[in-house]
Amino acid sequence: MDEVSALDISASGLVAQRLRLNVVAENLANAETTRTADGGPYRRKVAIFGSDGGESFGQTLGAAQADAVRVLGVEESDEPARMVHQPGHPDANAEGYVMLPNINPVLEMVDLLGATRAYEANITALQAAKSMAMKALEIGR
Amino acid sequence: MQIVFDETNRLLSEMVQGAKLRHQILSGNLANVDTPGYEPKDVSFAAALTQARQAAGGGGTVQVQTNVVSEPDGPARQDGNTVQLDRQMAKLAQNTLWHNSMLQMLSTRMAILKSAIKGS
Repeated sequence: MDEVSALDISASGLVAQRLRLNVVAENLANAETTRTADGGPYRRKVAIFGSDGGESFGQTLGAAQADAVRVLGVEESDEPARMVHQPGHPDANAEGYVMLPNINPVLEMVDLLGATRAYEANITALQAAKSMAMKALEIGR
Repeated sequence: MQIVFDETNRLLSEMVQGAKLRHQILSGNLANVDTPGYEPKDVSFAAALTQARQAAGGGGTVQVQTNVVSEPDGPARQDGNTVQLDRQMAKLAQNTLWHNSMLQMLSTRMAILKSAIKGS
């Protein structure tokens, strides 16, 4: 069933983009978090995507297969923390600087928009697959 | 029973299969719209059909062949991805219409057969 795997592929895109949205939401929520379990400020997280191509079953058989997307993991960005002069802050160092998370809200909002659009594109593909399958069921009716 | 098992119906159903494969490939491109280094794929089957027609000389059986090809949409982004979302969406809409029109033709042929059986 081609439709089923087309639906699976679109679903993999939806899962990946939703995870990306979750990561963006987490980053925005923690834009000012100065204390974490690991100590130090919160670090920006990034979702890493990879293509599911290569050694799939269909390709081994010689049939070309479409690639689903896979979330390889969520990794922490190694950009340096923002240093802000706030001598009254409880987490300020000896010089009066506070280490704030390396989060740029503008960057996060752009990422949010990109993830939303990609999510919508996958929804459209999913609906098209569904309508194609429904149309095929109507043959001879 | 020429209308049920004839060349036209076989070709139509093969084209439907091709459209389904192309939809699968295009969905894969959309799923990988943010995968670093991903190159979009497409199915070329219209060219294969023409080639097969020429080879068959009009008389023999015509086979629809589908080939999956890698086809960059445009210049690579900074992450090496060459998928253009708008172009893929246009292809997807086009392919859905194509698939549905093939199915419509099949459906019409079945309706003709049905009315011939019923006689009314």
